[in-house]
Amino acid sequence: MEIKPQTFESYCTKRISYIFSTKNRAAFLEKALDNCRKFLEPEDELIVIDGASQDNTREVVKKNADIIDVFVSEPDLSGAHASNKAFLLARGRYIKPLPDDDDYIHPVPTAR
Amino acid sequence: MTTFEFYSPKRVSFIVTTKNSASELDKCLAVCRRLKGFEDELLVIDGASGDKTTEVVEKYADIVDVFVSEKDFSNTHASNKGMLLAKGRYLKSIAPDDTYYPKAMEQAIAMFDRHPEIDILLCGGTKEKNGKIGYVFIPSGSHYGNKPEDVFLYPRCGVGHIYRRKSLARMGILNLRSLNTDSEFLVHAIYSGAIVRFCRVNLFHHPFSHYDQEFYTDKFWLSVAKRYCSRRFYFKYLLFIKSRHSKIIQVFCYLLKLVRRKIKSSAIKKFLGKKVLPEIVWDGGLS
Repeated sequence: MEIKPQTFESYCTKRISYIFSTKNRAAFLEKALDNCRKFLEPEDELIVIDGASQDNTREVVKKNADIIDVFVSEPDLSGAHASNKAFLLARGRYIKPLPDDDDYIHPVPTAR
Repeated sequence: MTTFEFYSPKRVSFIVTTKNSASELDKCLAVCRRLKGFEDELLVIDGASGDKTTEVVEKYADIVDVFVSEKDFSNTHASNKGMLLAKGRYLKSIAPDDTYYPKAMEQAIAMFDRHPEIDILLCGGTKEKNGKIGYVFIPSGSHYGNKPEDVFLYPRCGVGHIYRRKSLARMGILNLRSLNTDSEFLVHAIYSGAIVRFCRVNLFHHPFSHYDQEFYTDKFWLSVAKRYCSRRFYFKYLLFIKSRHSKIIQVFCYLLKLVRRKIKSSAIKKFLGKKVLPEIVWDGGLS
């Protein structure tokens, strides 16, 4: 068995970790995930942290299961708590939190 | 429901931070071999050492899962990298000069598994200074962890800390600017509402080194007390610190102690006799 010295980033298996933290906003999440499809590259990952929603968030996630790498659904204390969980689970070199009710990301600037 | 811990494929992540101390690392990894179970992982975070660190790690390649070697700012910076790369449910830092007891480690992890509400589990052990042994022990019924002041009132040693990785989302990671990272992190965690408990197991033996001495900076601890503790406690602590340097305050404190003792010595106390020091029993319970 051989082990070579590596850098921190060599253990980051993904390029960008996109993060959605959500709670009871299934309609917004659905729109945001549709938008996300446009710029998500194969070397990126998508993390959805849900605060144990009571609406149909789970169904929306199921529908988009092909692009979601990590889905956590459990009660949390706040949006910041959910984001921190995602930071700990992220495996990307870069981390980009995405608000589920904004539509400001355009594929071209992200790729640059 | 998919929880955070579903994405933690390992049980314990042992984190070893090192820089230019290959011989100590060799001993440390030998200890890790005894501690590490088949569900655990071992991360070695090196600060781009110029000595034989890489050769030592290669010798233990069968137990090392992650080996990072690049420049870092401090030991705390390296620990934070380890925490971010870890995949275990629990995080345990391993210091090269300390001795750990595998059976106690298993007891502590079993206790952690039984109590999913606990964020930080503190374990007991022994500290050695100039040949004298001191115990890091908190007696049963102390209700440790209810207030940040507890960290000041009871014996403390970062060697016995075990963190639940999930709880870092609530407590944050280590403060790079802190002089005593572990203890300040503990005070901050209790202040932020984390559940901290002491497990009565003899996990470690920590020989006192000169490196430890820089941690005991009065100014630093006063600033921690001011930030996180009650105003009443802060002034008491300030008086305690000042009394170390001022003869007048020492005399004043002694007189105050005498007066308080006089008031408190009731008939019941007289009946009970001398105050008995708590007996050190490593029974594996929570304090």
